[in-house]
Amino acid sequence: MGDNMSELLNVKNLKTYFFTKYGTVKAVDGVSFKVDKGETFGIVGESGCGKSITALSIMRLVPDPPGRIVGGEIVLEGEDILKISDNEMRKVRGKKISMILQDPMTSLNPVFTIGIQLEEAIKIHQGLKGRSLRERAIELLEMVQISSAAVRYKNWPHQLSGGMRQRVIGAISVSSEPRLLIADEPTTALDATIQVQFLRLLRELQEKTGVGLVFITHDFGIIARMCQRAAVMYAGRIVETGSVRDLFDNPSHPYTAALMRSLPKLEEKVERLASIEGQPPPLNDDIQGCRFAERCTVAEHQCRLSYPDETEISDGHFVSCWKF
Amino acid sequence: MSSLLELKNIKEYFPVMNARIFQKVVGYIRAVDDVSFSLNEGRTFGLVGESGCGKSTIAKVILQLEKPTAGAIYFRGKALTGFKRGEMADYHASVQAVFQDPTSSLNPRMRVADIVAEPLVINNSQNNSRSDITDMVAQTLMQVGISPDRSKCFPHEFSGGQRQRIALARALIVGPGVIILDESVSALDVSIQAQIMNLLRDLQEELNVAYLFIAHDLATVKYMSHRLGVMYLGKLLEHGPAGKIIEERIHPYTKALFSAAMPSHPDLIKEEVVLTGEVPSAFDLPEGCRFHPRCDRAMKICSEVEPDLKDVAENYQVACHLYP
Amino acid sequence: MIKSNSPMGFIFKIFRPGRYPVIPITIICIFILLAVLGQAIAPYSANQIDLRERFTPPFFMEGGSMRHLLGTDAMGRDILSRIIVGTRVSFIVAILSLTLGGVVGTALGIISGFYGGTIDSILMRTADATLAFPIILLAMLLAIIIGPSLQNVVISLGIVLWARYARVVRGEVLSLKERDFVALARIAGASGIRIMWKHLFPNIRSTLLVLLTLQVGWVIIVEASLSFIGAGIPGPTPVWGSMIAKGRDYVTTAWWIPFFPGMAVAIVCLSFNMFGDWLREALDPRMRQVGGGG
Ligand SMILES: Nc1ncnc2c1ncn2[C@@H]1O[C@H](COP(=O)(O)OP(=O)(O)OP(=O)(O)O)[C@@H](O)[C@H]1O
Ligand SMILES: Nc1ncnc2c1ncn2[C@@H]1O[C@H](COP(=O)(O)OP(=O)(O)OP(=O)(O)O)[C@@H](O)[C@H]1O
Ligand SMILES: [Mg+2]
Ligand SMILES: [Mg+2]
Repeated sequence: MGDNMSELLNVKNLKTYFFTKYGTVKAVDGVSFKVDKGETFGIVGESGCGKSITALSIMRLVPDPPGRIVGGEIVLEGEDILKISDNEMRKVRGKKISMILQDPMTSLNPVFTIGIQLEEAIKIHQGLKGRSLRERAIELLEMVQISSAAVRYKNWPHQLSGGMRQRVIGAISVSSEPRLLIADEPTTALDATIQVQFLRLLRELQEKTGVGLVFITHDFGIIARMCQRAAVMYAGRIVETGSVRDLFDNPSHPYTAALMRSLPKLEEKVERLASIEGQPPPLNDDIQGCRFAERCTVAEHQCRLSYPDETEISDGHFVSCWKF
Repeated sequence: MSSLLELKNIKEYFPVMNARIFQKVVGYIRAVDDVSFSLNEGRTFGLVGESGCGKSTIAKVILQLEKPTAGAIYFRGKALTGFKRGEMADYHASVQAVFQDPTSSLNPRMRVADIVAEPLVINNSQNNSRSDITDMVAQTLMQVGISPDRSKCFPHEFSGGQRQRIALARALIVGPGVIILDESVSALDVSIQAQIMNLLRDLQEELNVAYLFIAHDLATVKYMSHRLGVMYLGKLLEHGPAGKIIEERIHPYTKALFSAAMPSHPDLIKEEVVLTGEVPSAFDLPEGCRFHPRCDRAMKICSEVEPDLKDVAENYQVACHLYP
Repeated sequence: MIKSNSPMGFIFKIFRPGRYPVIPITIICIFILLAVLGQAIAPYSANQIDLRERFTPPFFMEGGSMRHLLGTDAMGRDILSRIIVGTRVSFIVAILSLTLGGVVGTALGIISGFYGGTIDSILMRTADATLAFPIILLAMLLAIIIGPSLQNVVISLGIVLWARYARVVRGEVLSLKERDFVALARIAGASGIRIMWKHLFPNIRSTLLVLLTLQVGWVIIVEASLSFIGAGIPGPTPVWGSMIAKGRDYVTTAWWIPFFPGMAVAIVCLSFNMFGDWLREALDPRMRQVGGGG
C-alpha cells in the first residue's frame, strides 16, 4: 500500500442509494478502496452489483433524483470531492477525472465531426486556438493510433468502426491530461481483436501520461491482463480487495473462490465447471448479514446476523468474511 | 457417425439498395459465403468469429428465418427444398433455438406455461390433450430447474438466468434433434453462465440433441464444443475437432483471434498478435483471401486467389495458402 | 410484488391508492354518470321551451334564480339540463367513433407493420392521405351526401381516427417484430395470424388504451366543432357544439349561453388528457422493476 504521497484516490465507505417508489435501492453500500498514482485498479463483479454507480459517484454524476450519495468520502489528491461545490466539481471533472463509457456508438455526438468534438474537449481545458488547437487534436488522434489522422479528423462518427470510435473517445478523455481515468467496461462492445488493440493502447497512454486508471469490468481475464490490484464487488459491497495475484492464487472470500471455479478456461481442460446456485439478492431488500450468505456453501449462523468487517489477511489483501 | 443436419455451400447475400427514390440494387453484402458443415447427434458444433462475420445469419438460415441465396440444407439426409408440408412441420419441431437476450425472447404478456407450451400447441401432431400439455410443461420446466409452481408467472418475475432456462424449456418441449444456441450464454453473469452451460451439457447427454453453439467468448466455446468452425467475413477459415484447433491454431486469423483472448491467470499473459489494418466490410470484400489485408504472413498469391478449405488432417480443414 | 400483467394486477396498478389523479378521474366519473342517467337527473326536459324564462342568467348573477342554476337560452330552455343530456350524445359519439377507428386502425396497423412491403406502402400512403384531408371538409361532404346525422359524425371521425391508430400501432409493431420472441414463434412454426394475435396485439394493448384516452378529448372537441358549423348532429337533440354555435349571437348580451357548454367541452377534454398522460406513465414497463436479482 502506498503512503500518502503516492495515493491518488481514496474512497471511504461510499454509500449511494436510489430512492424509488418501490423502496430504497442500496446500489453502493459502504464501498472503500484506494488507487495509487499511475496504477490500474480493477473493479469486477456481476451485472447490477453497483460498479457503474460507484464510477458515477466518483464523477458525482449519479442521476439525482432518484439517486443520492448518502455517505462516505471520496478523497482525490488529498481533497474530499464530496465537499466541494458543483462549480468546483465541474472543473475537477474535466481536469482531474475523466471517464470512458461502454458504448462507443452513443458516446460521440453524431452531428459533429470527430475533429470538432476533440477540439471542443481540448479547448475547454487548455485554451489553445486555431492552428495549434488543430495540431494538438491530430496529435491526439495519432497517439490513439488512428491512421492518416489528418484525414480522419474530418470524419463523422458514423464513418468510423466501433474500435476506432472507442479510440477517439479514449483520445477525448485523455485530452485534458486527467490524473484519474475511469473506464466503465470500455471494451464490452468491441471484438476480441479490437479489444486487445484498445487495451494495449490504454496501457501505452497510461505509461505516457502516468494517469491512474480505474478499470471496471465483469471479465476476470481483463483484470488479469490489465490491473495490478482489484476489488471484487457483490450486491453493492466490496467483498475482497488485493493484488491481482492474491485474487487469482489465493481467492479467499467464498464468492471470489466460487467465481474462479466457475470460469471456463481456454488454457487448460476443465472437466466440469463449478457453479454458484441461486442469484444475487435484490438490492432493495434489507439484509442485515452478509449478502452472499444465501448462496454460500460455508455460511454459518453469524453470517446472516451482521455484515463482517474488512480483515487484512495478508499485506494489502482485504476480505470481508466471518471466516477470518 | 450419421449427420443430422448438413449445410452444403450455403450462401446468403443481402442486396444493398442505393438511396434514391427508384431503388436499384448496387451490390450485395456477402453475409455468408459458401459455408458447409454438419451437426451430429449428441454433439456440439461451435462457431466463433468476430461481430458481423455471419454467425447469426447461418443460424437464421437453418431456422428458416432467411432463405439461403444458394446452397442446400439436408435434414436426416434429405434436402429441405424437397420437403412436403408435414415434413416441414416436423422440421420446425425438430430444430429449435435459444437466443442471446432472454428478456426479448419471452413474450412479456404471456404466462410462462403458455410460452413453454407454444411450440407444442402449434405442432400438435400427437393430439395431446390440455392436461397432457400441462404435464409436459411441468416436466420440462423441472428439467431446466424451474419449479412448475411458477408456471403461472410472467417472465418479468424471473431473473435473467431463470428466463434463459425458460427459453431453453420452450426449445426442449418438442423433443428437438437440434438446438441452435446463438450467444445463449453470452449475456449471463459468470456464475449463471456456468449453471446454464452445465445444464446444456447434461441435457445433451440425456437427450442426445445436437447443438450449434455460437459465441464470441472462446473459453465458453471450448467448454461446450466437440467440433469448431472459425469464421471470418462470411467464410469458414478453419474447421475441425475443437481440441485440435485450440491447440494448433493453424490459420493466421485463428492464431490472432485466440491470442486476443484474455488470460485466465496473470501468469498466462502472452504477447498478443495485434492485427493491423481495419476490418473490411462484407459489402466490399478484398480480392483473394479475405483476411490478407490484416494478415502478417500474406504473400503475393493471397491477394489474387481465394484459398479453399483443404484437409490438413483427418476431419480438419484450413483455408490458407500457407498450408496444403 | 403485484403482477402487473394479470387483469387484477392491472386494476391494482391503475387504482393503487394515493397515486392516481383524483380530480380528473372524479370529473370523468361524474360525466359518465351524467351520460348514463341523462334526462333522469336533469331538472327540466332538455327541450322544454318556456318563453317567459328566456335569457335567465345563472343563479349567481343579478336576476338569476335557483330554478335555473346555469340560466336559460333564447328559447327559455334550461342550460344545465341541456348540458346534462348533451353529455350522452358526446360520449356516444366518442365511444362509437373510437371503437370504429380503433378496431380498423389497430388491425390495419398490425398488418401493415407485420407484413411490410407493398401492403405496408399502400396502407400507410392511404393513412397519410386521410390525415392530410381536412376532417371538417370530409364531414361537410358526407353531410351533403347523406344528410347531417350521428352516423355521419361517427363515420367522419372514424375515418380520421383509423389513420391515427394505424400509424401509431404500425410503429409499435415494427419495433416489437424485431424482438426475439417473434422470431422464436416463427421457429416454432406459428402462422402470421397467430403471431399477430397472440404476440403482437397483447403487447400493444397498453399503448392502445393510452391512445384511446388521449383521443376522447379530441373527439369531443371535433364533434362539437362539427355541430358548431352545422355538419354535425341536427337539432333539436341538445349537443354541446350546437349549443355553443347557437349561443354565439348572444356572447355580448347573454354570455352564459355559449360559455357553459364550452366549459363542459374544455373540462371533459382536459380531464381525459390528464388521465391519459398519467396512464401512459403508469403503464410504462420501464417503471416496472428495480433492484438486482428478481
Ligand atoms: N436510476 C436508478 N433507479 C433505481 N435503481 C437504479 C438506478 N440506476 C441503477 N440502479 C440500481 O443500482 C444497481 C447498480 O447498478 P449499476 O449500474 O452500478 O450496476 P453495474 O454493476 O454497473 O452492472 P452492469 O455490469 O450491468 O453494468 C442496480 O441494481 C440497479 O438496479
Ligand atoms: N437483413 C439483413 N439485411 C442486410 N444485411 C444484413 C442483414 N442481416 C445481417 N446482415 C449483415 O450480414 C452480416 C452478418 O451478420 P450476422 O448478424 O450474421 O453477424 P454475426 O456474426 O452474428 O455478428 P454478431 O457477433 O455481432 O452477432 C453483417 O455484415 C450484417 O450487417
Ligand atoms: Mg455498468
Ligand atoms: Mg449474431
